[in-house]
Amino acid sequence: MKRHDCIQDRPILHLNHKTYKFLNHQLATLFIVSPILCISIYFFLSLRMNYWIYEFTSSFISVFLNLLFNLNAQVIIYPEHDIFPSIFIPNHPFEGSYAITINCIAGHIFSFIIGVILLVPSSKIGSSKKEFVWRKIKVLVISISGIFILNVFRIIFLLYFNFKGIPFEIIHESLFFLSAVIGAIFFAIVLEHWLPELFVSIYYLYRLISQKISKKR
Amino acid sequence: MSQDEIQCSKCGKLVQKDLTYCSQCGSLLTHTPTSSLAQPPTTPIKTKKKIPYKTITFFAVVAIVDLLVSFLFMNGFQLPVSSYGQLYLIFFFVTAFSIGLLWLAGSHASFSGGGGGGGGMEGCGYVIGAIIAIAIGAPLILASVLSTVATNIGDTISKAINQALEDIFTEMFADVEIPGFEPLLFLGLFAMLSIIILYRYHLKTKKNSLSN
Repeated sequence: MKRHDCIQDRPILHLNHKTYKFLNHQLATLFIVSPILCISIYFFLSLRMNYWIYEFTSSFISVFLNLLFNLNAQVIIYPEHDIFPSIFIPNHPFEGSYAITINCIAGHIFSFIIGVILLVPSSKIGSSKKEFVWRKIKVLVISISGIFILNVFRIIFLLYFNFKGIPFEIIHESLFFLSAVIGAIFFAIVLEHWLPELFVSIYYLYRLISQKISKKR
Repeated sequence: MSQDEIQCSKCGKLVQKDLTYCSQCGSLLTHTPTSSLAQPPTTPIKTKKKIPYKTITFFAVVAIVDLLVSFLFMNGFQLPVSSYGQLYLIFFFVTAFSIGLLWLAGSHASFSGGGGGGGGMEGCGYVIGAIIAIAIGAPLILASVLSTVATNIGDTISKAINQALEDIFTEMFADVEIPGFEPLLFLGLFAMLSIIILYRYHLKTKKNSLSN
């Protein structure tokens, strides 16, 4: 019985002076497993054992708030780990206490980034596995640290502008939109530069399907 | 006519260029060079089946077994189903599922049994697997259809499962916040940028850049 997914029989894509070849199970894993993995990582980040991530982020934010704007911000941590930690700013015109939830630490963005990067398929020709894994690690580290810093500064400016009197809803939505645009562009550039296999595999699938449709006609 | 097809000189139909014989009428295609060392065709010529005997046989067997089983159940057991027709329909799915599994296992068993001792073991495995699946699946199908008894059992089991899941959930998670539109905004922007990048690739590549 002939295997339909034999490497030798797969068509090769020539793009940007490089050659790429992907198997069916790699493409299926990217499109089917990655959403499940992203959702699983999101729930993993919500586990009580990962409470330290919220504590670390809150502490990081309060240190920079005090360093840059001298607001005497404090982190309130609940010992039972039932509630997310909060940042308290004294002499605040409004309430002054902000809970740092999973969406505040961009947990959904990190889930997407990690889930997608882990499942980017490697080309069967044109690059070695060791080099590909190293590129993946590089992209993972750069993306996570970049999005983390962007998010921390988003929250810093959010708390500062709210402290200065701008209503929370207005500044939250506008800063969120700005950071989403910057974050998406940053992630796309990092991927396109160091891990183009994500986009190439999607294009490869598109070319395979269009080739099969044109053959049937 | 595409570049991969040629016309048969006998029947006039379009066939694949790389074939030696016409797939429609079986005649030798004229483009192939005749030689004293001509090899017989490696791809067998498929004949079109007109009557699906296997499918008809399968459903005939299912109908007969269903008749017998429904008759036995109607006369031998107290059931919350009043008419023979209803029972026949209920058992139709059970019988079709069971016979289908056994048929499948049998065909796999006969295929792998030809390979010797190891193949025979594999064939046995298929049959045993089919029997286990029937033993689990048939009661499930019956229970889901004969709802009076199944409802009470189903309620009790589902309540127990929900309670257990709730307890596990509150133990493991501090607080799960369902994200609003925020991830969709990032995903939407990333998708838009991905489409731009993919379109750039499309403009850069030639039409025949996907080659074997």
